[in-house]
Amino acid sequence: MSRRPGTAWARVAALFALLATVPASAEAPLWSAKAKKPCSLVLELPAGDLELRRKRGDAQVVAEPGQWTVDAVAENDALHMRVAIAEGHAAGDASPVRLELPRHCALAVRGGTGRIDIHGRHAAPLEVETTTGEIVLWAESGADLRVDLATSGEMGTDYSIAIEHRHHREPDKHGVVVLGTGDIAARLASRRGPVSVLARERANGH
Amino acid sequence: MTIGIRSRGRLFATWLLASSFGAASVAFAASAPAPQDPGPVAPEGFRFERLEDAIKIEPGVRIEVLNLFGDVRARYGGRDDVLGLLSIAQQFADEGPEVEVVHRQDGDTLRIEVGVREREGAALHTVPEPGQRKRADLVLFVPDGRALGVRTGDGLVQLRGLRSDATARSASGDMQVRSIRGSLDLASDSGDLVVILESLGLDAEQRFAVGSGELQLHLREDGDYAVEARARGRIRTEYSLEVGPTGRDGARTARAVLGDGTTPVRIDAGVGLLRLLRKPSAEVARMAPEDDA
Repeated sequence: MSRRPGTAWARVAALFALLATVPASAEAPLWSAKAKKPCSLVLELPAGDLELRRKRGDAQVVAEPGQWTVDAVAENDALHMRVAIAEGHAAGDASPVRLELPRHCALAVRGGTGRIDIHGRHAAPLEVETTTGEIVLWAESGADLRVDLATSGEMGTDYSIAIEHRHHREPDKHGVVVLGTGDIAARLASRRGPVSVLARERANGH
Repeated sequence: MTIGIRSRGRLFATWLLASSFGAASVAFAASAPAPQDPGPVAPEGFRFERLEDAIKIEPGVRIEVLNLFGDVRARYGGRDDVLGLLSIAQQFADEGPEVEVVHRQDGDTLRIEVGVREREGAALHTVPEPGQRKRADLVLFVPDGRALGVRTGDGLVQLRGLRSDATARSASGDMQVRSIRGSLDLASDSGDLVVILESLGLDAEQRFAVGSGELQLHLREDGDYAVEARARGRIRTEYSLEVGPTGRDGARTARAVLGDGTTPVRIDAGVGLLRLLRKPSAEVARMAPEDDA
């Protein structure tokens, strides 16, 4: 994704006050910004694995330096970000990208074949899509989520789930898991990959 | 009545070990012609013995198979009162007594056992010695209505198309079961279990258990089942589930009702992965668009 000129970056600044983009070490973020309320991020990750963690403070993308590139533009009141494998690297060899985002930030992830793990408490809508990549939402105890799942693959769960079959459509199943009050909407959709809502406290053994 | 056909000779070890031999491949092995490309040659001293038996079995007689030396496969054997039994035993010549496949009627039970004897006339030892390389694989053709029981060690249990009840136990062997028109009771301690379950309107409980392996159960979407599963590991499903809270031992109960829930299905998935999968109805399969067919 190419960078847009001046005005777009001004809108980005209104949403995220850009702090730094230069990696200094393996632990340094590839991209970092202060996230103000409200904030909304659309992340495109065609290949490779992603780990989302909800954290206070800055929004940031952390990854092995040199393996990934980050491009970001503001568009329709959301920050659009594309994280891609750097030239000369293969998705299968690259370490996962970690996205750290405050819980009040809405997030939409457009993934591909890689696995996406979602951790933490969410206070804003969450939407994750892949083609064949696995999606796992690790639910915290006391979470208030309504999770809509869609896939032609299997649905993993530690909770009660209602599944509706949609014959000859893709994805061919729609599932709903309601945790607590179900106030926060989460949508996990894959064309064929497994999609799961698992309990964080049962993470050992998974 | 017993009709036995014995053949002995050398064959290629890798073919025997790798083959998922069914009746056809066993028949192929019988002739053991010199192939154009022999592939890997069996080690010196390797030998096998192939045995075919047709065993008279009266209605109501149960079949119990004990084979801790290899695999057991069972297929539907027709309506005659005859059990077909094929076996291939293999070992190195310097490994002592030959592995034997024997059968005997014991009341209402026909017992088929695999083992070795220290000397002629001695008792059959059905438990392999540690480190031994003797092997015996069995194929049974089970006639209508004869209940079958199978026990293996690390060998595969494969049951297909039977028209009778079946039970199977294995220490670490995998199980593959489909198209059985009867009740099932299957358990493997550390092997994987794959079952495609028919919907027969049975009210007898169908039982499936694994300790640490994967349990994959395919249920017909137009079937009538009441599934109750206990699992400490992961659960993946294509059916709605009601999942209970996690107990102190880390296990939780998951329930699913399909159709009118006629047939109770009891699952103990241990710490393994439990997968409840959908087998589309014939109607849905027939209506599939051409590009999805």
